[in-house]
Amino acid sequence: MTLPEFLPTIGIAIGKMLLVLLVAPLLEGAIRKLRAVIQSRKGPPIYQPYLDLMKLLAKEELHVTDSPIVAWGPPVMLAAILVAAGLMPIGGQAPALTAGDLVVFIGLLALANLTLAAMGFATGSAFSSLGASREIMAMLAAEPVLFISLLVLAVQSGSMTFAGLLAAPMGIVTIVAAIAYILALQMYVAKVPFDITEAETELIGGPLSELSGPKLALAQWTIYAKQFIYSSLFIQLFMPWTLSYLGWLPFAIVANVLLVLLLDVLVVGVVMSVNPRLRLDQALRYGMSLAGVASVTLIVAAVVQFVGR
Amino acid sequence: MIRDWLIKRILPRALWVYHVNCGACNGCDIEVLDTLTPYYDAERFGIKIVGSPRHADAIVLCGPMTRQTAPAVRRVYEAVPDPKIVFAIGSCAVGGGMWHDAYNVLGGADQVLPVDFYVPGCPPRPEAILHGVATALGLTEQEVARVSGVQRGNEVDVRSLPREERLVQEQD
Repeated sequence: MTLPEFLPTIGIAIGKMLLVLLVAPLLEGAIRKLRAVIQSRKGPPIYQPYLDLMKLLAKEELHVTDSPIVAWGPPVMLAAILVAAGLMPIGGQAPALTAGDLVVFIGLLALANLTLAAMGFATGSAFSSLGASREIMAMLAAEPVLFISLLVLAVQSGSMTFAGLLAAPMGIVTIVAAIAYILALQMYVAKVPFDITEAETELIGGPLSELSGPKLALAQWTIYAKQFIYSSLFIQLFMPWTLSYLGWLPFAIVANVLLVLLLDVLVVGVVMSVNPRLRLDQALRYGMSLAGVASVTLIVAAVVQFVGR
Repeated sequence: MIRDWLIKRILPRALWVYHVNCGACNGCDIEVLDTLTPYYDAERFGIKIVGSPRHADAIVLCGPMTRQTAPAVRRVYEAVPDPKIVFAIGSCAVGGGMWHDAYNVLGGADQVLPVDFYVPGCPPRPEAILHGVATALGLTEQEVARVSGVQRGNEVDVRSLPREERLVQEQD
């Protein structure tokens, strides 16, 4: 393809990045509001995370270390997540054929997590180093489930691009993969039973503890955006029928955002409001058993495909 | 310019607080934590307690400033990014309280840090702390009418007062 043919794809990708940037903090605000309602109090306004981010952007940035990792970490994190946002499908519409590769997408999400961990190690503070090593352990628990449950769809459709995944036929294995994905959603977004990395009361923010001002805002924004991407991916891949009957793309995108909001409030918000934090080994065991179930599903899907051929 | 506007308009609605005990008997600490419970719901003003001074916008000091904690408190103050607000909570932090002449006490928190707002009381009730913080942030008008004779409708913006006059009156 030549450049002019790519232009619409690039334009749509930039649009998706902006959408994710603008909408992602709203999820956090809705979850905080839900927690307040569950604890029968008033709670902050739903737009509170926007205020927090704007305030952090205006604050002074303290120099904690000379390490370039800390200087460049937050922008790199946010950039990785935004490129991933550009690649992901939205409103039931996958990006043009070559642009939505699954492996690149997962690699970008992992890059954001690894950058966070690297920043934690680079600051040299005890809290952030511990948080960083926990971040890597948490990735070990969460990433296999994510990758394997997406691979089930890839096997079903015989394609590694989002365009292919969206066209995957629904079957029992898809439903099992969807259940594994939603059970692991709390791990991907690192919310309360699995907020082992940040552990506000214990590690005072983990890898974030030494960041201040704009850097903290970017890192925080990345975390919000990640949450949006993981939740939106579930809607796209495992519940495409909720979007497909809305013919017009803007409608589908609005429906997509609302569904993500509903999913986050009803699943992530409720789970985080009624649970205490797990220990790292408990989280690992949980992730591994989910990954085991997902692997069996993957093997079944592969065998069925093979026999079918 | 945008930055000043953000600080002026947004900061009071998203205040992250770092709590320091610089020698308190824990009475004030418990009241500060009470303020953050669902019953008083400080989060509805966007107030959040943070564990790292680098995330904080405000420091809440409880207790008299002892010789031992003064250097550490100074370092905490330096670890908070600008702009920062310092609250002294409780009689001890305001002026040393009953320990003002103890051999190991330097006095109130203002002996070491530039304190912006004082909330006296032994300990101040959670309502008083919330009122003090809300007044400091400009969320409520300062109720000084009964004390200084200023009539309602003619209140002073507490943020424009010199530091000595910012004493937040406890309501009874």
